Amino acid sequence: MTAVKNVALTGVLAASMALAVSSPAWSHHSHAMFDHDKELTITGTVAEWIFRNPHVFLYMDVKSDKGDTVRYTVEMSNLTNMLKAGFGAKTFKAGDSITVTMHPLADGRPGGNYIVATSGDGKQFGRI
Amino acid sequence: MSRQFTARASIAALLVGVSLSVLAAQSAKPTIFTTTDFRQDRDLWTDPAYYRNNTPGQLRGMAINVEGRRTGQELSARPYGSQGTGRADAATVKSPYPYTNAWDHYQALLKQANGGTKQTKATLPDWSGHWGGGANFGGGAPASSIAAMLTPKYRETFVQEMKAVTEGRIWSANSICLPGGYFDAVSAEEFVVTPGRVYAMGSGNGSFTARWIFTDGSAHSPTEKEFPKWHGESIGFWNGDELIVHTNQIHGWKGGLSEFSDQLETVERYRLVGDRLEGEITLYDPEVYVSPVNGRLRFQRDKETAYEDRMQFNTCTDTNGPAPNVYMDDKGLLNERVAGDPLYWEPADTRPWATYFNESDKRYKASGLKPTPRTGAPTKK
Repeated sequence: MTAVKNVALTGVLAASMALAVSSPAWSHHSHAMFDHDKELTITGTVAEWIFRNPHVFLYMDVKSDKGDTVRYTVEMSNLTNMLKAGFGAKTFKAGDSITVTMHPLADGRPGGNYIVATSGDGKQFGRI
Repeated sequence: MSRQFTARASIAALLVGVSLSVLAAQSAKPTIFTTTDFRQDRDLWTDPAYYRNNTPGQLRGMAINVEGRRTGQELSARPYGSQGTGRADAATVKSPYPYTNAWDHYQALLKQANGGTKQTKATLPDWSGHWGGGANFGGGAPASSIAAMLTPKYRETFVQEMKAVTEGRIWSANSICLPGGYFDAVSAEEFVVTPGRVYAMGSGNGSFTARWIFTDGSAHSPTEKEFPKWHGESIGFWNGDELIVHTNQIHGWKGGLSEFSDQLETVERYRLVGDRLEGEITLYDPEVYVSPVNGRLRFQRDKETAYEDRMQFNTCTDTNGPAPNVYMDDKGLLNERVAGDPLYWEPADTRPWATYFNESDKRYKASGLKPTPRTGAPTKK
């Protein structure tokens, strides 16, 4: 399983945010550490599926072009959004095949913020 | 004809010249994006042009530094330094009321209600169900409008934060897994209305909020039993179907317009209008605001509560780890870090985000990083 390099186009949507609105749905941290100008698609196996708030995490083992295995940390959304997107606590288990497209960490470490995940049987889970 | 034409041409040339001069003068002024030391720009902090007319929300969106895409945080994403859409007349943040403190405001409303309406289970309004919404202060107004409402000390910390967030340096209490504070609790999702208490609850990704509003006629705790509480201490009364709430003893923190102090006291008013709870919240904190602040409260009741929207208890540490002060030492024993130890967390720090902003300012400057606007489609690989 190697990192897949492919190309997709992302739609553009601009919106303004209301000023100083308190909301319990506010994310607990900014996504500024991810490079939103890049999309990286990786294929590998699920190492751990942590279905918990404040953010769900997917740990993936991916074979690099050099042949060694790299552990990727993929940060996902909160439980409410994940359930709305079709994910569940048992969607993945260790050893499952999976492909994830994400905005990678800007500093190049193996991780990112997911955009879409595709399970081994071809089912696609998009970010809502 | 020719004389008229010449006169018109001269006037037009003059106007163009004046406009160009004004533009040149404006472009010479630093903005929050071009300044090398925002503290030198105090005179500009209340000028919309200093923020290129961006709202605080739009400035925060620049942390992502791309055109907004999809949903979530990317929805509010904006390229660094882009022109905003703030409108100074979008909403008035200044309170329209003559009161100088929350207690006088509350007492005046109590007097208007002739001491309040005695409610029973049968007469209380139905606030059941799941609600979305909360407080809004000056939505759509540029950051300058907020800066103008703050006293010098808090104006400076506000501008420091606005500068940092445009550069992707967003530090809030939530981002380091500390409680959201009073304003998170104002954005409740469920209300339990009983004759002597109103309970307001909410849940975020990493938190759970609860408020207890005493409507049984009891007073605030006596002075010797007062202490700052995350969500304050609330008492209230009914005026017909309207709930009026006074909250004091609020733990100074961050939220609403800006940071706030332990002196913050608020008056809230709620009334059911169809499937909306509508009202207002007035903030009194002379340490922070140059005059009392007024915001809108609006909640919309869900027609039905989706399974995934059911509230739950959450902790921020669940996937981010526990606080570092209690740890296992090299002998395998439970131990505690003290001031000066590596990784020690200072619990007496009343403004932890400010500590982060100050350190972040130093590190960012030393790094030599410079934000540049990114507007292209994502690079794929």
